[in-house]
Amino acid sequence: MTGLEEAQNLTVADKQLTSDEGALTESPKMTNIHEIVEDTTTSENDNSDAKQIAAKIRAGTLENVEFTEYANFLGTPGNDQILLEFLLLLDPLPSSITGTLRKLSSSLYFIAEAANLDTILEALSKQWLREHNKEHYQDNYKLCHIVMFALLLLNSTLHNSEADLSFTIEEFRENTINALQKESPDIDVPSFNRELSLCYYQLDNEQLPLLRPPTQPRYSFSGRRTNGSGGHSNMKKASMLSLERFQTNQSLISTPNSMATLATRDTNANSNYRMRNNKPLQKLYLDEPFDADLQDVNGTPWLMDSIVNVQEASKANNSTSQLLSPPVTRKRKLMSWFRKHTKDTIFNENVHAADTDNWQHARIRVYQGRLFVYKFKGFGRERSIPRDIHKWSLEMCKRSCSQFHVYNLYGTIASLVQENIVASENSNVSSASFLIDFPHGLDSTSGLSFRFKTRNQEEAKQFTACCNFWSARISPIPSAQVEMISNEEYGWSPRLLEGESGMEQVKLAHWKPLVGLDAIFSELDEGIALWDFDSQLGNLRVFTELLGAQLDEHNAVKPKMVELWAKKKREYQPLFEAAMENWNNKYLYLNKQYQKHLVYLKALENAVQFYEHSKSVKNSETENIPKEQS
Amino acid sequence: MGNSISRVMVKMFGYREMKILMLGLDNAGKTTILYKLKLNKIKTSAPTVGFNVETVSFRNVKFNMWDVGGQDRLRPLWRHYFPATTALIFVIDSQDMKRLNEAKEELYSIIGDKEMEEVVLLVLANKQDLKGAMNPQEISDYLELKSHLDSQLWCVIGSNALTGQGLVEGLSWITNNTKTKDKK
Repeated sequence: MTGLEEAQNLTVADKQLTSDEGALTESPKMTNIHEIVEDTTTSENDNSDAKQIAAKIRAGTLENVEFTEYANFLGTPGNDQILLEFLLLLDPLPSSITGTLRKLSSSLYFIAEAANLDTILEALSKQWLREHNKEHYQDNYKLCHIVMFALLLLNSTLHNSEADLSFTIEEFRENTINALQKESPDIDVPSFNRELSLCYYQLDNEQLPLLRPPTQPRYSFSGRRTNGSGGHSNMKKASMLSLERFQTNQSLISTPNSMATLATRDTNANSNYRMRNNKPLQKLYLDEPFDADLQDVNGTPWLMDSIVNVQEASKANNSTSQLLSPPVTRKRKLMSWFRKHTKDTIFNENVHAADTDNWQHARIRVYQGRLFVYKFKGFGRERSIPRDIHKWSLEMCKRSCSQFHVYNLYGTIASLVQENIVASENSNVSSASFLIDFPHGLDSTSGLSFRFKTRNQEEAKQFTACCNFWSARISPIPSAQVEMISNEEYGWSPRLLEGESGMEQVKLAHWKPLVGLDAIFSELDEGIALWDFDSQLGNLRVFTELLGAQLDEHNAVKPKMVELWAKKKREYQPLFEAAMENWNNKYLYLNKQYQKHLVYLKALENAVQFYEHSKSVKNSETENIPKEQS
Repeated sequence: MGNSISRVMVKMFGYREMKILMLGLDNAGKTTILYKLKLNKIKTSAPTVGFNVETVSFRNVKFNMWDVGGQDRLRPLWRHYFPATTALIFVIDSQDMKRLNEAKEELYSIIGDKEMEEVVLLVLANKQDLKGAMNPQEISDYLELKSHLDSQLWCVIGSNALTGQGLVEGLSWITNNTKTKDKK
């Protein structure tokens, strides 16, 4: 494909669109390659097309490319001819380099990727030198290219408020001349000094003008990146049962892979706002075929809806949240979870078990990744609750309840309470209940915990399964930290344990979990690529296996650490303690992640089994009908 | 609307200034990353002719990111920006095996500069969402960071600019490690 043919496909940097108007040209065949070489008609046509496209860019009327992407378009490899034609339209170029840049930036929206700006400036420098053969440039366009690039950097430094970097005239001259001398050691330094000083003052006085885009954008692109491998389409696998094998060498960050779709998201606050204003809630997941079958069937992992008693606490079990806290404590209420605090005591961890008061009647629904809670205070003197609340529509519930709230289930964990207690029927053991713990994050649900008392153990189990199914489905997998590679020393690197580096050289870093996307996910409302069910299920399998392996590895390293540090325990006691604290912190983190994601994995696997079972029951029922009829 | 990574970061950690230089071969995903974070930037300013420069806040840190690329002959021009740099984010297209060696050479030519000796290096193994992408371990092995960057702190994190995964962790790693450095 020639550069022009590619241009007709309107390649802009890493974007590619096919223009309906662009003529498709057959690829050259090896058998008639000489014919192609001798064919001058094609190149004439190419030139004429390139001229046309260049003229449209100059006029700001090129179809299919956003006005603000013209520079990226021109700088893309393969568009060289169009670039040349465009620059010819700027003839005659001013004799000063600053003037030339001004002319360029007032003819083209000149903000683009660095590599594309580089390409344009290189072509411009060649053309400028052809027109203005100044002696100190030694007829070397590369010198001119360096000066132009340096001036563009200077313009950003001087005038881009984001740049936040000073550049004195001396620094600018020195920096640029250094670069010029690397290209050509015998440059005429005084001449360049004079020219660069003048350019500096000119740019300092007046920045390069930015050509304003027309008020109405003509065309727009949606995604920024596509490439030869297909980019990000909205294709989804047909069934959740057709799980593909995952390549083990691929990072789990591929979670939202090429099947991902960008969607705006509701934070908890947004969800509640929409609920209160009767606006539809946004989807937190990609629809799958099985959703249509089961999402409205109560008593399934897709939907649970019942009357319960609810109790709310603001402290969830958490053994590692303190690791996320910065050393500086803050007074802001919002940041209360970052305050340095002691680890949870057994009492705190079991705060729910100790508190038997403050139960409220509520109808709750776990549905489409959210928990809906409608609380009822009761009516009349006896504070009785209507018996048929479960039959009410949600709208009716909303109108009649004393309080309602919706929670996104990102990162939550649901668990059965007292499932390990076996007692006689008449003993004083609380009835069946389950907990929902919200992760320690930043929004209002941070560290929130609910306890729900259900009618029986079976219902509590079903609610637990349903909550975990949705959490598992919509929560991102925090794999980046687990997969990261670094040379930081925490006290167990092979180099240290195998004696390659001495104790005296050890600079221990403090191990703590990195803040990940999962910690802030509930606060994000911008376009995040959603992922399909199969990817999430597959990635959870890989992630839990990886965590399991890392836990084993981490456990195996402990005896070696003890052995190493024990030899010089007295001398390096503080270091030893720091290393063991690091070990412990990482262990807690890995263990917590492992437990949580194992629950998620099982929740999704159980849902798959549930779906398969319900499908086979349905099929057998369908098969039996004609038999019975016959 | 408008909640986003950096706004959340600001809420979380407040401000501290730090210069971050983001480099990498063309098409590695620098701009996508920058604009993923730009969506989350704390102030809006008038666009300026030239390079994509953004200020992003994370924890106590104000990140000043430059998308600076270009050919070899332009590399000496970046030196001016090196002294003020606390951390270098080097972005690699994890799927583009053909240009991995080029990326490696580029990385070492930058990190080999005397001004960059004290800089912490974060390599973002980007485009992990694409099939066949090398994982962080493989990228790290290929770059031979272990043997070549003995005295410098480095870290390779897989990233997916589409979702923001890896970016937050990367910034968090930089913040953690430069804080330690400040204490010295």
